Amino acid sequence: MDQPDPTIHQPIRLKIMAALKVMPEGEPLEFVRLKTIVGATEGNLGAHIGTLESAGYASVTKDFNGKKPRTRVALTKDGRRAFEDYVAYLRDIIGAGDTAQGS
Amino acid sequence: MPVSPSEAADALRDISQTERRSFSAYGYKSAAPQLILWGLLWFLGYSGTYLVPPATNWIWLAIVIFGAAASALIGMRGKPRGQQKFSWRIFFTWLAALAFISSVVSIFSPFNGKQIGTLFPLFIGWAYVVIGIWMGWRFAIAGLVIVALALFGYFQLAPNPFLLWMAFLGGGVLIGTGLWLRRA
Repeated sequence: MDQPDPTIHQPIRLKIMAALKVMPEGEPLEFVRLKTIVGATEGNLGAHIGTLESAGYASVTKDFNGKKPRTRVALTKDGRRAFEDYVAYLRDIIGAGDTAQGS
Repeated sequence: MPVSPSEAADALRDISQTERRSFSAYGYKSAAPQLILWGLLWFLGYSGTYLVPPATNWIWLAIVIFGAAASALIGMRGKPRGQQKFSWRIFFTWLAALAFISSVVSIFSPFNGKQIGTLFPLFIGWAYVVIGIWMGWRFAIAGLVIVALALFGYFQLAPNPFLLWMAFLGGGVLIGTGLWLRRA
């Protein structure tokens, strides 16, 4: 990867992906918990989740928990792979930087 | 746009912090209903021991087996469809805990009822402290409160009030912690 994935290379979206990556595969995270973890406003978080969903990196399910409406977000297989690639890309940069400083 | 090494390091730090928070939140969410369940069972166990002392062993055996099965069933909830299987790991974790405490009792016997009644909460309390060190400070706080209640009850109370103390306060702390974690 020569350039960072533009969908993930945004601080809030990066945090969303990191929070979802921890969940067991296919298991969603509730929107309200994600909001607390990421520290974003509701509108901001919703917009970024929309971007990730459009890219095929996240899936959103809406249902009811009792009488309360509930929105849950999960990482897709493509999203998981893209995030892993992005982390590897960051590690490569640090590795390259260390090598350059050492030489 | 290329990313500099310092920007990459900052991004990796953000990822690591977010993953840790998410890991704690997942642990809290999974543990909350379990704590509420075990708080209720704890209340039933200690109050049953208080009311029917000769049946103490049977009461606790039934509670641990029922609790292990109920815990495993609760563990199925929230899983995506197709992955909802009876959680044998949770079931056997509780049976292993029972086996551990029974082994300890067998080699250190004779114990009196108050000592055994304190051993369970000490084991559970310290287990939560260890879980808290790895998964989230709220577990550690709950564990320390359980340990403090058990030790206070053991050293300061007579056997019968001790059972009621553990039924109401021990069970109450577990239920309260479950509700606290649900909101975390």
